[in-house]
Amino acid sequence: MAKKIESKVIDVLKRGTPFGRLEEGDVFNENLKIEDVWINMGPQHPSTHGVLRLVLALQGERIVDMEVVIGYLHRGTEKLAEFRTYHQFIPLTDRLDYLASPAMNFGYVLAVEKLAGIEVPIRAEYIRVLMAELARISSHLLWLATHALDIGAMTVFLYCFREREMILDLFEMATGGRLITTYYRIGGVANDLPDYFLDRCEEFCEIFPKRVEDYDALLYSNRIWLSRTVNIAKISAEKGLALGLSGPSIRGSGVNWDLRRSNPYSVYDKLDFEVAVFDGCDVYARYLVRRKEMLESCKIVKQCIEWLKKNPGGEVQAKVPKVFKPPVGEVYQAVEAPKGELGFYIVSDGSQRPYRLKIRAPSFANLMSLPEMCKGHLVADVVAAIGSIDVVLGEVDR
Amino acid sequence: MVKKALMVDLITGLRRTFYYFFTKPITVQYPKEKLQPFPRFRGFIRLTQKEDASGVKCIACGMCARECPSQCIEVKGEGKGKERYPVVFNIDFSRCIYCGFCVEVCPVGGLEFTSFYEGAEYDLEWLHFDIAKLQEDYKKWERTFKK
Ligand code: SF4
Ligand code: SF4
Repeated sequence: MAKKIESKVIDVLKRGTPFGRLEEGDVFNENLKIEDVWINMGPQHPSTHGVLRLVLALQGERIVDMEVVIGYLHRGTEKLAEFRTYHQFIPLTDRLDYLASPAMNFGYVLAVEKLAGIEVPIRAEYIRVLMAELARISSHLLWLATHALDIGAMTVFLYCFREREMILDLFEMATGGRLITTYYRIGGVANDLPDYFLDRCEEFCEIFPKRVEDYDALLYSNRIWLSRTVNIAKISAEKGLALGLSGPSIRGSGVNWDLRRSNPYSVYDKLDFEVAVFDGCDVYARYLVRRKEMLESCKIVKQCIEWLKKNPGGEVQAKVPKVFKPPVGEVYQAVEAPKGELGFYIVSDGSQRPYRLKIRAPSFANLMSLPEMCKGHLVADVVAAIGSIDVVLGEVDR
Repeated sequence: MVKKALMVDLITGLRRTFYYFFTKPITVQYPKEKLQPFPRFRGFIRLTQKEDASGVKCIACGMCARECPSQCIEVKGEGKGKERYPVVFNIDFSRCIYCGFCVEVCPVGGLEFTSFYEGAEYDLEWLHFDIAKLQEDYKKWERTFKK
């Protein structure tokens, strides 16, 4: 690569620049090396404000190498877990991926329940799935909004936020929090859904597919969108798997891997939905995956509502002692969070607090494939690539 | 090719924008008008009063202080058994994360959520609520420019 550019530069010099021209007989050092230019992108840049720094090595405007610098949002969540009881740690999981907090709670409580062998009432399971899927829709909506905004489609941002607002209202109705829901408890959920919730939720499910058409009108076959996304930031399935890419990002490379299907937890095996897989390997394919996932999640929500309406009443919380002490042991539980595989690894020494808690955050692993995706592309495409893997720095730095 | 020349793809998008251009705005002009939160909303926390208004329900058991993940509650009580009442009850709202655990664990329903949420303050001291301030009517602090 460097060789090619060098000869190009000499050509340009021969043709002449505003500063002069390489004349016949000029001494030109053939050993002159064209060096990469290292520049900082961030921490202040358009797609992740103040929390992600990229160091780019450039040849002209092409990226030859990239280094990801993280740690701007480090809060020591894993260490904090060792000083909190199992119950007290739930609000902290909310703050990992703050855009889909029910999904984060879900992973944690499942891990603790697996460790302690707690049976969860079936009604609570359905409520949990319902919430997690709403969170997936809201997370993908925010992703679509900001991703499109980064690439230059402003209108989509406003439309997506309109629908996201509806979901946040639903969260507020059921849990009391809009962004940070803290709704899941070890052994169930905090309290049953209010009676008007299911109707409002059904309303949303009716409206939502129509609203997706709105976004499609602006993006799906829009020429500007296509030229910014098709064939940009490609990553093959093998490379992606080797780098630990998961979730919608790897499904955009044609790998049919969704923990809800491949390793079902909770009641997902009783629900009917399709796993979205596209094999374009590029930004556009990842857009298609998430777009379809929103619609599929909407279907799951509908099924949950149907079940919950058919089976009203009943327990939503299993009996868990006030001073909760799980047995000695270790456990790993992974769930399909909106960003990918979210895992909690807990080591218990039989006391009230975890001995060690490790979080396998999807965005952290996904971020590692960013340099691979961006190599050979233009600087302007980095923003599209970051958007396409949907990083949330809250869970990267933890 | 013809499609490209006629910019069909762009015009579909513009048509949608044009349609919404004439619909009613869904935004709320915040300080002038305000949305009412839903009943379960987790705003600032208050001490609840007994039905006969003879004091607070709290029996100073200290459960909330123990359960609080950010350790921002301080309780000291006096008296024995049923007669126990708090003399010191501080909640530091600059550290509270509104998780709702304190409200949930309280055995007598001594705490409740209000719909007051405008806690952005210049003065940190203002957010340190003591027992007297926790029984006030939070409505008076709500901000709106419409007088
Ligand atoms: S809401 Fe949570 S953080 Fe706030 S005082 Fe209650 S227990 Fe503590
Ligand atoms: S848990 Fe309830 S009764 Fe006990 S100290 Fe807290 S507010 Fe008072």
